[in-house]
Amino acid sequence: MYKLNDEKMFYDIADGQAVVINYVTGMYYGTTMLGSVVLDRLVKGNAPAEIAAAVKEIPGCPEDFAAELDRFIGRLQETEILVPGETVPGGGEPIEAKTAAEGFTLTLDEFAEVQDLILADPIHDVDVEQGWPIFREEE
Amino acid sequence: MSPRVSVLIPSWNREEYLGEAIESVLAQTYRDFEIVVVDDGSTDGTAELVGRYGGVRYIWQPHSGISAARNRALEEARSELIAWLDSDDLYAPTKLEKQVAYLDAHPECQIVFCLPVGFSGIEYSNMTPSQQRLMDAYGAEYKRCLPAACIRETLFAQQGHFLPGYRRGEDTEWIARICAGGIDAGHCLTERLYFTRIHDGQVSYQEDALPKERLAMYADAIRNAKRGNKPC
Repeated sequence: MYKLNDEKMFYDIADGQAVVINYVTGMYYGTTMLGSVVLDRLVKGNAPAEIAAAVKEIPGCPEDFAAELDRFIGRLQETEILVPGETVPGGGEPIEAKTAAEGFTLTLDEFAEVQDLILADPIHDVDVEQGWPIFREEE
Repeated sequence: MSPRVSVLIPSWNREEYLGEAIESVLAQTYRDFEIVVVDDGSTDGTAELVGRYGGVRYIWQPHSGISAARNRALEEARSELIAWLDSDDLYAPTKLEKQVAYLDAHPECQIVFCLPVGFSGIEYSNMTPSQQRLMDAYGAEYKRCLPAACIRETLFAQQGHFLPGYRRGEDTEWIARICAGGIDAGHCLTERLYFTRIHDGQVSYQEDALPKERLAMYADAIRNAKRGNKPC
């Protein structure tokens, strides 16, 4: 299955809204509320089939949602947010219908507005080899 | 009539450096400003020190943290332009003059930075790696240093104040929030007009945030900007 590419990505979800920051490039990514739930389960290693089954329980879900999920996963891999990982049981837990209020399209939006700020942050250095979570003073 | 610029100095137990900070403002070539010191519950001689400077507005509050002190300062400010000064840092004499001129010449600009530069009473070779890293960073072209900016007050009304949950990094969160909110924060004078003191006991490296905490703060700022959550 998949896991977060934590050599260059930071992932955080709060209030149902996922944000992924590439701390090597300073780019960040956002998605819809439904995309956030799906992404959260993917980074936990849950199987796409389980996740798709949970989404299909939401009224109005299109029949071909699995294809939409495949496209989303492809985009997450292209952007190097997800890399192959172990399968972790779960992912089929019910999803609230209101999560799909924006629809069932899983978008991944890429932004650069805080790129300069992240890359120039004087508090912590970006280490291209090891990533930002490596705090040089503590090495 | 209100002064054109409010120089806001939040301070907590910085008696040792605060006088120099105030004097660097009093030495500005641009004269139409007020100075507001928000004392965040200091237990040293901050009150007496500020009292020696006529015309400096002194506001005391129980110790509530840097975000609360900044927000209190914003509430007290009477000017159309806001300039922050950390209580251990200094302005170059022409900082306000050059930034006010820039804002007057660029009405579309809401925030203009200048380049900071580090200074210290500690020899570079005697600094900790963290201190050296800060010194190096401020020697490079760091263009997003909040106290190195001059900001239209309307930007705070539009984008919100500082989030009270942060003990540090509240300035970076605010800048990240305005950037993620689509504000052009790319205006920066090429001169080094803000002096950042590197010393022992400085919050930014005394309690240095873990990198993941810092990234979580950026994520919060992004979310707040995107959903229009603007604390005031």
